Amino acid sequence: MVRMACVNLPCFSLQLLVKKNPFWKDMPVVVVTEDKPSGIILEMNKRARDSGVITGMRYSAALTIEPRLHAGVVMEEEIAAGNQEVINCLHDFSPEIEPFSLYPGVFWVNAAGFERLYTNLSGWIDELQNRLEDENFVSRICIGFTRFGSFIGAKRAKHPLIFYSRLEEERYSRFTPLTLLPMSPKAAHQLKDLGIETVGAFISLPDGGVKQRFSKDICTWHNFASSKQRYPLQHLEFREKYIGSRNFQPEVKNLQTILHEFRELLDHLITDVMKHNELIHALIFRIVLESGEKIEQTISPAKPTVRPAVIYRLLSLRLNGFTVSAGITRIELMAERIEQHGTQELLFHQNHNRSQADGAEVFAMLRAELGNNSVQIARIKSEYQPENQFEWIDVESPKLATQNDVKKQQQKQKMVRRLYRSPISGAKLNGQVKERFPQFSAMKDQQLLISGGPYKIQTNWWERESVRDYYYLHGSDDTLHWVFYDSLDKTWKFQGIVS
Amino acid sequence: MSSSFIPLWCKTNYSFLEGASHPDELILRCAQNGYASIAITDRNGVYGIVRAHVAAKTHGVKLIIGSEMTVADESTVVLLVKNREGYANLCRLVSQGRLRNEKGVCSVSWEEVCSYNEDLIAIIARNAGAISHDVYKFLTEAFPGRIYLALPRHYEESDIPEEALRRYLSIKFSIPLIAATEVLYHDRSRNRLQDVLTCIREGVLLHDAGQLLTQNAEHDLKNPADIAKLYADIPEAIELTEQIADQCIFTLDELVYRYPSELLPQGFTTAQWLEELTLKGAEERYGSVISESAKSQIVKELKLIEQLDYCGYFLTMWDIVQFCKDRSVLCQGRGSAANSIVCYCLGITAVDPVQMDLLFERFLSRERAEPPDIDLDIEHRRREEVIQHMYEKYGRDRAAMVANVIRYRRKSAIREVGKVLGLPSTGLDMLSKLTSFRGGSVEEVLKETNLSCDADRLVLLTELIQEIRDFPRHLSIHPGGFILGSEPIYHLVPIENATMPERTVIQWDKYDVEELGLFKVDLLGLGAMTQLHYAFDLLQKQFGKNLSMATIPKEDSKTFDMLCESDTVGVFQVESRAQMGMLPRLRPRTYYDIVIEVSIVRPGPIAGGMVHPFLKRRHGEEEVSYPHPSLEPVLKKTLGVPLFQEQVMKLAVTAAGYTPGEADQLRRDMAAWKRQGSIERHKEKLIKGMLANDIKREFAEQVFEQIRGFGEYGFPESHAASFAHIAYCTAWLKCHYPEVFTCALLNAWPMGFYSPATIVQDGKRHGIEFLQVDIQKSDWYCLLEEPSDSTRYGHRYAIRMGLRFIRGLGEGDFESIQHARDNSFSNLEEFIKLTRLRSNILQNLAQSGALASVGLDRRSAYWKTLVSDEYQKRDDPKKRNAIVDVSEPLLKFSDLRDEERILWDHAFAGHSTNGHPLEPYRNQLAETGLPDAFTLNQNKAGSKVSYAGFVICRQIPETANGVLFITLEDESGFVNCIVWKRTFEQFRTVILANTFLGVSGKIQADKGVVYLIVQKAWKPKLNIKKPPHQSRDFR
Repeated sequence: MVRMACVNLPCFSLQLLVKKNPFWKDMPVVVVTEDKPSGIILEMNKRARDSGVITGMRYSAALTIEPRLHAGVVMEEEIAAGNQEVINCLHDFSPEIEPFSLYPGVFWVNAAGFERLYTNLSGWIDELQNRLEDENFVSRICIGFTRFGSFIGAKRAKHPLIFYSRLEEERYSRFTPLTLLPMSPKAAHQLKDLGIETVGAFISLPDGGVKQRFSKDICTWHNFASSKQRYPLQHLEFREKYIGSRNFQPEVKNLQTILHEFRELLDHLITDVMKHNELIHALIFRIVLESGEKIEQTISPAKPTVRPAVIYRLLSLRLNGFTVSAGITRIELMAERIEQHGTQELLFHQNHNRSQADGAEVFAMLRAELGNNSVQIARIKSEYQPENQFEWIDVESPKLATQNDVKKQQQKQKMVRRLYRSPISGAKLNGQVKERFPQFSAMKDQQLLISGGPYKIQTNWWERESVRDYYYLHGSDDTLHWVFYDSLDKTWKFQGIVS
Repeated sequence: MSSSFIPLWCKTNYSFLEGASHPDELILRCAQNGYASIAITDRNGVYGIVRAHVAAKTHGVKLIIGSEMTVADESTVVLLVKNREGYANLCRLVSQGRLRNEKGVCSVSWEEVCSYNEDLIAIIARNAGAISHDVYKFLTEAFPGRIYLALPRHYEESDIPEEALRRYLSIKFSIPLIAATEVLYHDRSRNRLQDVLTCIREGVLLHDAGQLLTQNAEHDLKNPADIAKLYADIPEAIELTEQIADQCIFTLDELVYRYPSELLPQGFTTAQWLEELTLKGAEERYGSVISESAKSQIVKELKLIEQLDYCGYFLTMWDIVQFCKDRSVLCQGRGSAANSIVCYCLGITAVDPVQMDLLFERFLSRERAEPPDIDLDIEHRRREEVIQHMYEKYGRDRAAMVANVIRYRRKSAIREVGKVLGLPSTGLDMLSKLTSFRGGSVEEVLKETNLSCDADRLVLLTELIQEIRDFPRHLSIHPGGFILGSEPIYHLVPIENATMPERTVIQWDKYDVEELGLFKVDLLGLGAMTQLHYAFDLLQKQFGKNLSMATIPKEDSKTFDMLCESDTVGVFQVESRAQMGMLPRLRPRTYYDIVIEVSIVRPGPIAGGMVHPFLKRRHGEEEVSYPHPSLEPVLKKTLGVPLFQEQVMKLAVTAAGYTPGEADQLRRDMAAWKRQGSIERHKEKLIKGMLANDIKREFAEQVFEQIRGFGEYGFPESHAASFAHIAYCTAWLKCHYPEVFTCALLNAWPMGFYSPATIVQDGKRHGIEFLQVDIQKSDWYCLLEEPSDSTRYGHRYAIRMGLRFIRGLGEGDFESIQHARDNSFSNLEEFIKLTRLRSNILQNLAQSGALASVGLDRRSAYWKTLVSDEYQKRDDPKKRNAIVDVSEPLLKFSDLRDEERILWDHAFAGHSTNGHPLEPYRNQLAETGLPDAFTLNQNKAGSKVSYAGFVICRQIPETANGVLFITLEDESGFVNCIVWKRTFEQFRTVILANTFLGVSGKIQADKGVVYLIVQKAWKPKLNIKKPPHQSRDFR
């Protein structure tokens, strides 16, 4: 017999917002559409409601009613992550779970047969609710026979509800106030204005009439309420991730042995990946030392692949440069995977811009050998402090320079400046005259003459103010030293050398 | 320390989001640094020069006027004014650059700069490298010996190549180099604010602004020693600045403004023509026998007007009034113009100043040497006609509107500064609302907000908010201030486009205009004038009565009876809660009583503690006495209590030994007190003067408090007299022709204090029948119709509500409905086909009940109209019937309940002809022991009562020490509630969150004024929704 449980996490976005900001728990809180005073209130907690705030109100208007009103936006990604968190919990109670695509925070779970495991279905519900509570989620659960019936039960009943006959479920639904259906405020108003106040009255409207007058989602609800969706649960596929592992007793110190063991694990992993028609996007390996320390590293190929030779080569490059401080007791290997497109599509991508692909492969090898952040380019930033005028960013694949780029580069050539990663501090002056230039070791006790400055940079006052007087010092060996006096630290600092 | 250096490139905060110091801060620092002169060169304009001019005079600094003009190649040139001609050229150039662009944008070409070169000195400022060599040649020819290259040194690395370039250009084109840093603030501590302003202007966060900000804090007004050090290698560049300054001899005092001379009839001078018109008007006003006092006043005024050469101004005002009369636009002068018999005779004002014994010197005096100020109230719907007439008659060159400088106030400062600091908008909104509501400091309120950021950032926020307050944000337009010139205005001040099409605006606000003593004409829109016009038209049409403001019967006792009973919903100036509370206490019986009534409920007299003494004396509860016998003539009219500005002026002259000129300065300081805080300087002088005249210190201090109160807001007697005239006219109409009064009020709405719903309810209480809006019968405006039931309503006309009240329906839609009516329709489908109205409009018509005449109940009509948008999108006529399916079986919807019908009326038409939303619940409310407003107001003082009604107004007047006044309404009337500060704090959330509010407390009743002193506020159990009108909430 079909036993469909609906798990409803009321005001799901609000629950996620409070979970993110636990200090707001006892405050009036609302979820808004955007972080602006004009943001519209979507959901609210009891304290906010009691103060007179209502959904659809603008945040600025609500503040006039409740000046302590706290607000936040819950992004789609956060809802997706929250959904996944709930699904992970639900998987402990049933393998078949269907999230409700129209309404985040609502899930159907196949509850058939679980009464035997938990004495009865109430026991199953209790356990499930406790589990969600542990994760700081509040839930309402109803077990019925149809999606709509169980959904209405989980929306309407404050305590767990179980229908024991289809007739009981249908009657319950018919007399349910229409306000319980999560419709757009506009549609809800329109129906209320027509005097349609119960689910039963809603169902009695002609299909065609509804279609002509209301939006798609209302038609969907109309269909849904008429219980026209009687197909089985469209549950998410539940599959354990493949993790290959080996334990070593006694521990192993020879990395070649380890590499060999990884090779075997990799073969199994690739077989599993190919079986699911997937590609390896990143390879993750974990090494456990006898001291208990765990080392985890990720290697990314230039593009997702299942070619053993490519992956093995990258793995070898990474492990060849590896040293461990103690014996190895366990290794694990797993992969981040993505779905493989059709093979014809793969062929289409092959041999496209060969030199760039080769470059990308070389970059991947460099990363494998020297570390994930070893291939970077500088991006110019509009800042005044020299060390902040650029930032290093990882680069996946090389970009081919055009003729224009080269020309521009030639036109732009100015003084070449070699900067220290961060300016080198000299001794504190402690009240001495700043005009006495310090000697840094790089200056090798040379005679110094000012050849430029002072140039002043005073910025970042909103974070940590910086006031610098820059000078160019001409050394006797013709080197141009670039130094500045930091007025706040009262120290001289060495920025770099200019040629 | 004196210096030969003169700062010639200084921008104030009137460069709008560019400079970070007020003009007076720069001038003061200039004086402190010992500079003899300073040039104020705001970006593309002269917005800040009047403020700078005043400050320069105060601090003894010579002000050089100029502007940094943005040129199309993105370079800038600082143009300095040598003399009057140069100033006119600068104004012309700026106007040209502004008028061709949208508001806020200005750009000129080098050709234009060169064509307005006369008597201007040019300094190449920014981006010297962007200017082509041809242009340099051209410039040296256009500005022979008057062009310079600035040598800006801001301790930036880029100064070096820039300087090299400028030195090269200097040699090549023989243009001298001058020492000039770009000054953006008077003190380097303002660098932070400068950065914030840059971010606001560019719409970026500080964190992301990077090189949009200045590199350092070197854009301050440096002292002579720093300048000498900075330009030590080129001392001649410093000396040149002094030579340039010496050439600039223009000051704003030279601006001689001539009012436009009118086209005069053959053989008349302006003075003769003014006299002719005045005497003719006097005959019309007084008849053939003019009293001696009136005659002598006319002669006295005309003589002074001629001597001061203001005849043109009066003739212009007369011309505007004539235009209004010709076009049947109702208008009336307000303000101090009512003190003038010439204005009265010319028809500009409606109050006889001789009869009222008004002080002419308040309007015009030789000593003041400033032009008179005539404000004209015009029907608000037709003001634009008059404004466009001004442009047409004088031309856009000679007529422009006065600007209004929008400044940073606390709320806008919190929002914009917080935003650039990267603080979340919702938290900032919370902060601005909390500070605004509590009136406390930002620091106090910060703790309660959800602004989650580090403490340092919040300290920065509070400091910057403090600094940016009162900074100009952008230029707006004054509601009705015009200046007119006999020569083009752009010789006087640059003109630019306003946001509103067809409007041009000058770069100065009304304070600047007043400061320079320029003529200003204020054309103000007033809803009450529109209402009166509509009412007179209705009287003519329906009753055949030809009345006007001048011919309405005077001193009508029935009208005063009505006023004494506070029956004043919709009556101009006396309809507010506070006025309604005062009327039964003051018990007006004459026109002059209304003058006092409109003046007394003002922060001035209230803060000055004058209200109670006056009322007591009026009712004989206190003896009328004068602090000194010499003050009796001054205070006699107001029983020894000063209530008007004129009295304060006279009092200062008589009691404190002020000269009339000083008294007028006192008046000006009273008006500007909040802005400048300049009233305090009078305290000692006034009190000393009064003590010297044997007036008690207690009274002297009391008078000073009242003067300070007037700074907040106080009426001159003449102004009150003008308003009282309108108030009396509207009251007379309400008393004798309530249906005409209400119909006109509804047609002139939005105006006044109350919503259409409240006006309709009030009309019903006066026995007027209101007929529902109907697509077959209603006009755009409300109409008077025969009543449906003459046995019930007698001969009184009913009011057919107009289609203008249907939510979202515009005049264009109404034309479609008229078109449908002309072609006749019998059902909804035909109506839709003929009108092609948008679906939401049709739905609003359906839900408001306006479709009843096509034979459908509201819900069925609503169901049908829900599809009509789809219908109109279809171009294929064959498919039309498929969408609006006439054959669709009529669904049976449940009937609307009474409360639903009323609620729909309010929601879709803003009022209900079917009843008050609380009416259907009256029995239920009575069962719970809650009376209606009428019953409650019959209670004796001290009775304990509970009541529930709709909130129509919440007010915390600034003079009330945090006391909240609430007006509640039901079908039988209003209940006025007082909530003491402590009670309000206790029930704040309930009071602010509920529009249907329950209150319990004690009745306070005195002389027919009933208040409920709230001890408890609660949410009624009966869940009644208030229709969606906003309550009027204000401080």
